[in-house]
Amino acid sequence: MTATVEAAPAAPAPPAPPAVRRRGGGFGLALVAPAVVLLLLVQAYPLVEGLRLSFTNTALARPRAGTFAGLDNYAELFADPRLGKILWVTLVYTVASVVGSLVIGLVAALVMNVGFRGRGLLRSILTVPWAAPGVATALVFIWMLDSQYGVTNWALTLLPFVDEYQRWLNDPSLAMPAVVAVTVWKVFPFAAIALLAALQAIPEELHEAAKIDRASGLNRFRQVTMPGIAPVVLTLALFLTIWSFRRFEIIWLLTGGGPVDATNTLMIDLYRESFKNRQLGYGSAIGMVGLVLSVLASVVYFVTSRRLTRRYGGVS
Amino acid sequence: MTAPAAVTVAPAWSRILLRTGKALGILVFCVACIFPVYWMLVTATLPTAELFDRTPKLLPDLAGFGVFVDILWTTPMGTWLLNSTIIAAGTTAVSVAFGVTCGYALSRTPFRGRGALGFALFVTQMLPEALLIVPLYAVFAALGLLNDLGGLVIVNAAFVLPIVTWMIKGAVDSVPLEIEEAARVDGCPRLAILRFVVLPVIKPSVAAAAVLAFFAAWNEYLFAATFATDESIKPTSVGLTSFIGEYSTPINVVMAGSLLYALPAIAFFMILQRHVVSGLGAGAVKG
Amino acid sequence: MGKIEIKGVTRRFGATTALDAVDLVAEDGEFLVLLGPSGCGKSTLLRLIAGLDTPTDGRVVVDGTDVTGASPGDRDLAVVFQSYALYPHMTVRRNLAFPLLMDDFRWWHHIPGLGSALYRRERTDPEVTERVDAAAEMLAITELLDRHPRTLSGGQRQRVALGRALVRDPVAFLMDEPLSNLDAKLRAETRYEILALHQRTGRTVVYVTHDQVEAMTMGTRVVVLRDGRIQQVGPPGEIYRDPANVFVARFLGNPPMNIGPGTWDAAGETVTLWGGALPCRAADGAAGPAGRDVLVGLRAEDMALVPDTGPAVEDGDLAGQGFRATIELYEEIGHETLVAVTPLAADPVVGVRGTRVFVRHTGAPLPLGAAVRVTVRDGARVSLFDPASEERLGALVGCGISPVAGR
Repeated sequence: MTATVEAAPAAPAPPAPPAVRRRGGGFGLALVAPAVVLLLLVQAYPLVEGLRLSFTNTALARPRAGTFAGLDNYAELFADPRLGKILWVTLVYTVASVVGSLVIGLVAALVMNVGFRGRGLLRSILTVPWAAPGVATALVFIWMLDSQYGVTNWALTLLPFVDEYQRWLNDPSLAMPAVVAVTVWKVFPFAAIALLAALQAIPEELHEAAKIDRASGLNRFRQVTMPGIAPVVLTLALFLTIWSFRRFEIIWLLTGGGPVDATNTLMIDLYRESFKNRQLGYGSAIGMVGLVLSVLASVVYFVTSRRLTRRYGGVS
Repeated sequence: MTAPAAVTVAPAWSRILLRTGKALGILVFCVACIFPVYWMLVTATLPTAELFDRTPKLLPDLAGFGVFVDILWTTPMGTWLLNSTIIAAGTTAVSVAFGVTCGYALSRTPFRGRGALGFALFVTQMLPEALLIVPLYAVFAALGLLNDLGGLVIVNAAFVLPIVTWMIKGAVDSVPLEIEEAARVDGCPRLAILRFVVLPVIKPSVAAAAVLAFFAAWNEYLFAATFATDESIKPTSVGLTSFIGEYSTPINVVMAGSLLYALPAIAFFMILQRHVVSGLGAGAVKG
Repeated sequence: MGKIEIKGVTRRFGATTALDAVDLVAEDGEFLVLLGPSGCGKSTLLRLIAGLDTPTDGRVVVDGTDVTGASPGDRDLAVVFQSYALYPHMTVRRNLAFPLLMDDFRWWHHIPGLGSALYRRERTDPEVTERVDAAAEMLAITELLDRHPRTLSGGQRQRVALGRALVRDPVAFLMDEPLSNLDAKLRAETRYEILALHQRTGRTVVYVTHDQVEAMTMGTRVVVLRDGRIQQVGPPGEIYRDPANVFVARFLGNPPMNIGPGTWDAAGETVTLWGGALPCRAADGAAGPAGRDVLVGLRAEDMALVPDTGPAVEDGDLAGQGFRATIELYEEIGHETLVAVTPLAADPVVGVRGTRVFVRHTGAPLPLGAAVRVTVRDGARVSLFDPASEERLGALVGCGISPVAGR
């Protein structure tokens, strides 16, 4: 559905069930056709068009009047001293939110993995942040993090050693931690529930065998639990990273990329360039850089997962 | 089993400590997850004057629940919710219809490029909306789909389609092939097998995918904000954000709107979390 | 009606050949069992007949009509699957009625909301209700009609699956290991159920199994398959008595036929096996080739053993007869005793050591390790196979000790 795929030769399809092996090529194509058309229109074509735009000087005001500009946009982008900052902000945001979500998600999963009454209820409660619309999340956190009347500042001053109100979303050194915190709040439940599923898929016998072998709790975690959930952790990390690259609305609504570009990730900058500064060509070039980074993350994932599979013998 | 191994029974107090710690951990997670939603409720019901007290009120004011009705008259909330519903329903219909046929085909029928399509579905997860939105804007402008609920349905459906397809494929994979063969022997045409044999069997997964698609569109902000500039077709997500940085609307009204907007999504996911999350998790884990 | 012809059918899956130029005819009304170890191609053959798969080469003909390319629904054949393949979302009644309802399928049933029209005739059309009720009654599942498959036991599900096949009144029933998911007791009961169904309907049945007991007790004819090739076709008794090759001889029967290297001396009317002489004569017309090395096959019930009292056997009947062996283990089967013995005369070339020979013993029990002589019974069937090709050469009749009454 993307340029990548159109260009690629048809990959060998997995062996079909023998029942339908020799007829139905047309039937299968007919079934996928509507989906393929939709994806071509809304994903593949814009992607190709975005690539083309990135080589033009197209402006939002006259989207058809752009002319070919060669590598100008890329040259300008890589010469821009802000690019380093943007990439750094993107990296910090991605690493912090992915690691934060994974760690907190794992803690939550471990807590839930121990049977207790009301576990189902806790699972339901955990889905609340994940299900809450991003806009509602942003609005309530803007209010909760308000520098004067926000409940966060009030709650923090109850602590013995805090007596100063912070301007969470307006202080360049605090905006990123605040945005990351809101992101983690929203994302960690997904990690927790996926990890819980992985934990519960580890056969109880393995734990018992380790206990009989008198492995300590920590050893059991490292020798039994970790290998069991490693593939899921890796897959989660990939998806969280990709989603992190793509994430827009929470950052946009909380800070708009500010203050002083403190939370200006690639996607935020792309949107600002395209729709605020109205430079579609330049914006598209930024988007391509983001896409390349996503692809790189996936490559790293596939290499790592292959190595992991070799070491643990294909757990997943 | 000769000499008994040195059995270390944890002393009672340490077990109690462990239990307390665990209970405390669970409590912290619960509070952390629920508090922002609870805070919407508290803020929404309090009179404006009390919101700016030095010491915030921590309990909702029972007298203030009228705000949830008032908001429908004092703001365009009703229109917004209606638009959100139309967009979400349309997205669900399109993405589930296309996702079921596509997922079924990916699972059961061979065709040229099947592997490529499966890979492409994964690749779509990498495409940033913010990148695609620029060319999409041009396409939709040309097609007259800006400021059009149908346009938003198409965009949202396309973006949720890969996940829906993946969930359906996973569900079809677990349907025994022999049932379909029995139907073929019984003279059931191929499309009818999907409609009358497979679809009823995977109904729970379809329902989960539908909920996911509905609320993906319900919650969506970026496309709506870019494509729906007309007041009459704004969905709730865009409508509510127009309150940001605008100080004429009291914060309790904003929070009331946010809560009305968030509650359906939260409620449905809480009820169906087992299906939705497991379906999604299976898709994600299979990659 | 109900004659199924397989003409030169080959089915390849990539590099592997599942069926290799198979020719076979199932006559109208017969109960044809396809028997073989897993992977022999028996299920593939059934699926080709059903139309669930198409052959790489060759033709499938039902009642003179070439159906090779026809879809399964157009063949008027019913299939009973190993896993029953009941529609889990439908009641038993609807499961049974489904094939009948599909006759009236229209494209507009696909329109959301109109799909239920497909099931309208389930209760209103007297033909549908009569046929469903009749099938249900025949299989004693009338009380189950309103239940869903998941609430049924394995045996009940099996009956419903049979019912769904029965309702259509097809020209032939195709059954793919229908009993293998049942426990032993239920399996025996359902076996008779299926036989009764066959007799009542008089329709052709093609029945796939890997269980030789099912094959022997149910089939009017049995087809033994191996590696995609037919080894032998015939009535169960014939296949048991005169196996076409060593594979069939070993595959059928419990215990399998004892087979060892020997020679047939036509002039002296003896077969030499494991260093012992077994008195035999050529069977009617089917004399084996004399004076050459053969593989000798003997069923457990065709042999007898007596205590070995030394080189000079005193029992006149047994003078110089049989090969010497020691008793290795006993297996009690009801009133009979199965004895495994190891022949003593280890032929260094063939390496008999470790060979286990099964003999059905009806006499007084002998102690483990006892030295015995093993010979053929009078009238025993002695099969001869070619040592190289392992194909059947012919049969002899044993002239050993008299059969014990009751055998």
